[in-house]
Amino acid sequence: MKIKKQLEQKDNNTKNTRREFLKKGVLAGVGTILAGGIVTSFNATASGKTVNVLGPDGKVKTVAKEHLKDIGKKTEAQLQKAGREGIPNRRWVMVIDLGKCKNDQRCMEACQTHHQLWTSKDGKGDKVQHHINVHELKRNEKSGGFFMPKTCQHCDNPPCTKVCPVDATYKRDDGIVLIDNLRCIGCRFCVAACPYSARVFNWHNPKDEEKYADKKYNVELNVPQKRGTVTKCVFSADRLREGELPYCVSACGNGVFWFGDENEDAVTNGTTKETVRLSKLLKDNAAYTLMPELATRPRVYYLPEKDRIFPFESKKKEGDVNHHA
Amino acid sequence: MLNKNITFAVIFGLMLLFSIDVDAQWNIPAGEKDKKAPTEATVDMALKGKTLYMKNCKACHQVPKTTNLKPPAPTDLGSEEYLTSRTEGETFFQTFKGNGGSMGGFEGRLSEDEVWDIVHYLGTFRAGSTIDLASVQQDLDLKVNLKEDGHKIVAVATNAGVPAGDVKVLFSVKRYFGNLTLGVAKTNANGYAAVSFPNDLPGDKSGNAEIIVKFANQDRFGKKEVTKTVNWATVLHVENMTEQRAMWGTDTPLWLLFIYFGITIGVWLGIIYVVFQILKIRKVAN
Amino acid sequence: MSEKKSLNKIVTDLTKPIKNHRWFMLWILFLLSVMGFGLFGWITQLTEGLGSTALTDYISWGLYISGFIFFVATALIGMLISSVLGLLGIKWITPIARIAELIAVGFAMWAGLIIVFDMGRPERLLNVFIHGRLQSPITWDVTVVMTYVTISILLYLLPLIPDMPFLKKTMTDAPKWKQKIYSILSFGWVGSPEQYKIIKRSIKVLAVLIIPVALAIHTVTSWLFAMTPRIGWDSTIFGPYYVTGAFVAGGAAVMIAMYVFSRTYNLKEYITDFHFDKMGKLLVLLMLVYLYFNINEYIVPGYKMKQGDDIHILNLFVGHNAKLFWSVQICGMILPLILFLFKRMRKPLPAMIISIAIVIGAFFKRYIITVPTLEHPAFPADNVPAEYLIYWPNWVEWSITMMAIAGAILIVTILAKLFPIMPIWEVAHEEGITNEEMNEFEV
Repeated sequence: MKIKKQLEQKDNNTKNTRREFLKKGVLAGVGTILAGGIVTSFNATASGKTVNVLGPDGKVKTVAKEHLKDIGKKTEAQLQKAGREGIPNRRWVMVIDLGKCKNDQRCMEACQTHHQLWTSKDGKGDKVQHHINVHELKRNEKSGGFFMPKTCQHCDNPPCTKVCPVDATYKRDDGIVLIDNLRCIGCRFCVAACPYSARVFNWHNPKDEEKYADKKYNVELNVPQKRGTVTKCVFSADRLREGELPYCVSACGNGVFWFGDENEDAVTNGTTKETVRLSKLLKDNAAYTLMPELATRPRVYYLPEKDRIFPFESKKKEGDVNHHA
Repeated sequence: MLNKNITFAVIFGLMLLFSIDVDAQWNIPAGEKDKKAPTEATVDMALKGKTLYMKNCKACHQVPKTTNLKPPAPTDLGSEEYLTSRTEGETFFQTFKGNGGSMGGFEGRLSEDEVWDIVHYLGTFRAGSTIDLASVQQDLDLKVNLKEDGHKIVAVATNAGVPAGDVKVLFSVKRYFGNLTLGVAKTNANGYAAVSFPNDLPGDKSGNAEIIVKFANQDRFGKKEVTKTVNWATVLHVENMTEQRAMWGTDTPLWLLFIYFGITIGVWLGIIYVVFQILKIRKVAN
Repeated sequence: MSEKKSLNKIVTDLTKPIKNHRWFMLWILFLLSVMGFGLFGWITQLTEGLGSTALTDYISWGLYISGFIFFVATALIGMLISSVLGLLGIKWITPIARIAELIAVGFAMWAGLIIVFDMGRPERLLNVFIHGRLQSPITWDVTVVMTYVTISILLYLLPLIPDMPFLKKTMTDAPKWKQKIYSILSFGWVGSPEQYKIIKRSIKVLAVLIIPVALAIHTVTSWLFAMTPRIGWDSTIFGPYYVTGAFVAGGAAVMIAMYVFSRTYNLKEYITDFHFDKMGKLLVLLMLVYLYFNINEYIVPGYKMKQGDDIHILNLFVGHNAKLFWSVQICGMILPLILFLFKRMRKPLPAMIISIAIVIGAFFKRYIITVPTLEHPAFPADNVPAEYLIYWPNWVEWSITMMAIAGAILIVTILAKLFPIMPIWEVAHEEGITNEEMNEFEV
């Protein structure tokens, strides 16, 4: 049945360009099929048909099991407490190698799938939410363009938590800035204060709201999403607790992301799983942070796009303006 | 059982889909199809290729012949379907040049020889391949001694009690998401290999770190692995940043607390005073 | 000035309009129907979420927040007129001080409400008190708005007390509940010297208290913007810039109210051309200061044209917001400033018309401060629909904002129907009538 549907969808899609097909048809299709397959095989353990157990990392099963077990064990109050305390003795850090990004947007897909966000494929595509977004930038007129994945920068001097009137968004000792949507009043002051446009709002009912209706709220995943509250990248804190790399990091096929613990001076590549010393990586590659003039002290570092491994192909039209690089 | 069947059916369907559509977007020049590797494949090349594959290809294509596909699911490069539909030359071209889409070429990242190694590795999955990677596998013994002097980790490799020379040993230290390589050293004639533990690597709060020693080429020398805890790492000092009553934190800076309540209480005392004055009006009516 | 008025005449002139109900119900009905439409808008927003507005992740603050600043701004005039000018002993404000205070009460109360309309989760309002973080300007704003409303109500109430005996004596045919209100609010006023002392002292305390509170309310409101690192908001002069702008908006609002009340309440003898002339001159002064802040706010970044600033400034000066920008700057500030320099323009009718332009300009000036900054995120709005960067309020936002405006006017209307629009006793004092004469007043 599912396959038939898939084949039909394929037929419809052959009219589109191949790239379109690959991006839209197959991605969506595979997601549906896998979801079907997994829900079937998990019927015994997971009564709810969860989408958030789906992993683009190829470890769908294990994550789902652990995840469900973990969430199942803890009460909401315990989850909230753990979410406020953070993971002891850690100081998470992300390094993004701009020379390796070719705008595959797999990080975005993985993130949206797990954080119950609206994607451009849903409905009319008029409500899109990103915790991670891939920008196309140019440092100046004459330099070449590059793609820049941008998550929440998890600043050590965060302008967003400063302005929150109710402590709904807060920074933990392990460096992550989270958002507690059970407390958020939806004033969007943090959205206004964030210079990186990293925060988005649940203007409408969250995607697949009914499916998540009976789920316990896990602040480290920020799911289920709630209408009228702010949502943002949380460095996949739920995954970190289980020793796994964030969803976006492990979804990348091009080795763009390094993630690790500054206290250990080590970061691991999401693609190659190679682990290197953070200090050396930053030192050797002229690492920088975004908008250092604001002294927000981000926990996300960028490695300049010198020695790109892919030729840059702009997806922008003439006349689009880049405001900042 | 039924579930398994469904899964199989789904995956087979997917493969079918991909073999049609992915093919369609490959544009392989005529001459490339019959291109041959510069040298005949050897076990060494295939093993090298395996290492390269695990590092560069596995993230998307998975371990060959495993069925845990992920979305978007690229081809299983060890599958019958793939291998029977491609020549070596085509695989080489696809790997080296990419398709301009999701599959990025490795030109510039890997040398031609290295890509050929990967092709050779994939070739071992072909029906009738003469290369058997398991045939070269030995099972060496591995022991680890720690030398406080100079913080040296010494590995001793032996084969049935006889020292094994010329064996690459991988020394690493455990980190949260994976092992950080400290060094790779070749054993000498006595089977000894050693690296020094760096003096600036952070450990836990008491300076402990867990080291892992194993053979660099596990396919050849076996999966023996030794884990030990050393006290040579730097002591971790954790300053909890949320304790500092920062402007961005949960706890209000004291000066702000005083100013806020000072002003608020002051103004409201004034208001309460006026309210009491209003109530006094009736009392002083005469 | 004109001839001395007798106490009898003053009482009659000032109480007559509150007995007269012609057009009143119709006007109330009009306001209520506007509010009813707004209520419908709000119910829509509550059921569908803030997604029913035109706001997006990029333009996440829009009409509600600009409306909020406008309301706070308009409310600020109460402090300037009844407090600052009162403390300075300026006499001509006596007949208009209560109008200013009325506007302050009405608009400050709705300023608090309009913030609730902007909240994604209005039912969690109490979180601000339970989990309030003092580091957030919003917490300060909530505190200071509540304080300002309280002081404004007291400043409205206090000068009412000595008027109550007059109302009790003249409004004998008023409904019982009205009589009861007059009786309660008189607080046993008999006009003894001690009572006068208490009233005068209390007013003075409040008048002093409200100055820092009023400055705080609008400074803190400006900090909602200035405390963020955003181009166009990241400005050190936002506090005083807002405060002076507020006085302009509020002064014009008072001018309109003066015209309306003097005409509908037939009080031309009390609110005379002289008062319009004075208010016009006051507005010239306020607008000069405001113009000065405007020059600083736009010329300084406009001269340097730093990265980011350039896009913002060019957008305002010649870009797609230029029409609105120049309209509010010219029609809402520069032109009125020039016109008010002429005596003929400070006559009631022209002054009122110019003031309407100022108020409309003031409203859209807040919009110009809020929205264009958000149109220029530091990073391009990639992978989202193009509409995410285009904003114009939709009917939900307009209807709710209209409800707030109608609601504020409703408060002013009702209070002005319940109590005299001017303090009878202060007007009598000005006419040289003694306390004893007032105490002995009989119909």
